[in-house]
Amino acid sequence: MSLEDQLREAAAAVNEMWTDPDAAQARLARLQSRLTEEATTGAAAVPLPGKTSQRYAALLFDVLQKAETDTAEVLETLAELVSSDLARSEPPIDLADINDRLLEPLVNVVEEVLDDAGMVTFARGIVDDTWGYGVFIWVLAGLRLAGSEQSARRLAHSLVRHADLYTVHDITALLHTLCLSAQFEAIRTLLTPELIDDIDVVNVSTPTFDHLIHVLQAAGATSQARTLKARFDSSGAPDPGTHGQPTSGNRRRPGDKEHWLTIAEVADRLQMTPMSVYQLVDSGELPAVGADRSLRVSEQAVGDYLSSIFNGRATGS
Amino acid sequence: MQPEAEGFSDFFLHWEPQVRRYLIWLEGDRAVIDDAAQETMISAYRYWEKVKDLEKPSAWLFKVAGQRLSDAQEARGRAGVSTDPQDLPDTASPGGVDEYALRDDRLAILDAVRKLPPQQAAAIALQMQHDLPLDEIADIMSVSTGSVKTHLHHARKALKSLLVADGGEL
Repeated sequence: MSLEDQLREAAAAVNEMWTDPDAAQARLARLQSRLTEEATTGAAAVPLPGKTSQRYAALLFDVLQKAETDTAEVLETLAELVSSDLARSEPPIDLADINDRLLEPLVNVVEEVLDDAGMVTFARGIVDDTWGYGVFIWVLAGLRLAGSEQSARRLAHSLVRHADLYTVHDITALLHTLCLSAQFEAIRTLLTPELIDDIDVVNVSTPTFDHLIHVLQAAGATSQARTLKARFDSSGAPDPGTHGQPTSGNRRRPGDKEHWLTIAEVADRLQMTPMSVYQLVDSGELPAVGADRSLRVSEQAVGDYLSSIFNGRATGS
Repeated sequence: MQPEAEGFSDFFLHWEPQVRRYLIWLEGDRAVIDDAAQETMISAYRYWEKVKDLEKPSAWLFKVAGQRLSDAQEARGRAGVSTDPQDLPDTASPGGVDEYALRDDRLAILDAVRKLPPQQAAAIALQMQHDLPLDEIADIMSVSTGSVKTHLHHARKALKSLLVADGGEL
């Protein structure tokens, strides 16, 4: 039988499936009972965070930074952001939808379902990138909004204990996440002298190293940042970011070319969506050059932006 | 159902089987198909005010079905396959007949389709199962018509290779 015949035969066989009206009615009844249950309990079944949810997580935190702890204001601004974003693939999500379907079940899950063992599993899932750091921030934001600071702290410590940190990038990503979640106690636990000693300053590119230093400074670990900077400046090792050309002394010297980042790279570094980065640029908070959607942001500007956020947070402004 | 959405039941009875017939080309795990089909229809219900007015709901449904299938596959990857008998998919019709087992031979080619890259498998499914024109397939897949042709061409080429490699008959 030719390939086309086999495909046609399969299509005909599939057409004979799910034709029983009683079975379809039974499936409809199951769906109806699920919707009724959700309406009765006031919350939908907890959705497992997928890619879309992770994007919301980044957006949510974005808004949290600006709106402090006013839940209503946070959700309202979030809804505005999400509605324009979602219009492309799905109907816009509304405020109530976010509140009931995402935030409240999330808090319930972490509060009621995640016991100590569950927290360990969840933390490992984050480190293994099954869930992603975006979800972690989302969870902590949800917990803190709900006034469960203690659960947020337990989760952050669980993450620190179970993180396998192999590279500077791993350390930076975790520190960055903890900073964004204001988990400064967990940061102090993480930054042991052994960890600082283990950081390989020779095989790290200048942008990655600068990012680490900014995050350390934002976390209040200024002495560790100074120690590392001194080791880095005196290492004189080839910089992978400069095509392996050897440098000696300070990596960044007068006359060195400025490092420019694409919006996607900035989004990755700030753990935001590209759309949020565009909004920062539009609002003037993040200086960029270029026109329309072809923008480049200097690495220094990203560092300054991060520092400004964390300094503001540290002083309570 | 929480507030009865007018016309939704008829919509469900007509389109839910179509969604399943699309998904079976992309996924062999019956439980995942069940989950993805239900989540797709839940989405249709939640956005019923918009969906009910769509001129061609098939495009919206198949696009959402693809997204829900990815979510369900991701969830299966995290949670593994359940061994709880309560979680077994309902494969039997009221008469106690397993719809899948009945048509095993005729459905064998779908195993090869599911091994294709997702875009190619989706293009083949939409063309062969739902007989959609290229422009509608392009709309559902969010690609150009030219890309759809390319996916279909590569899909058929790959299927022939897969069948030959498996010793299948052509």
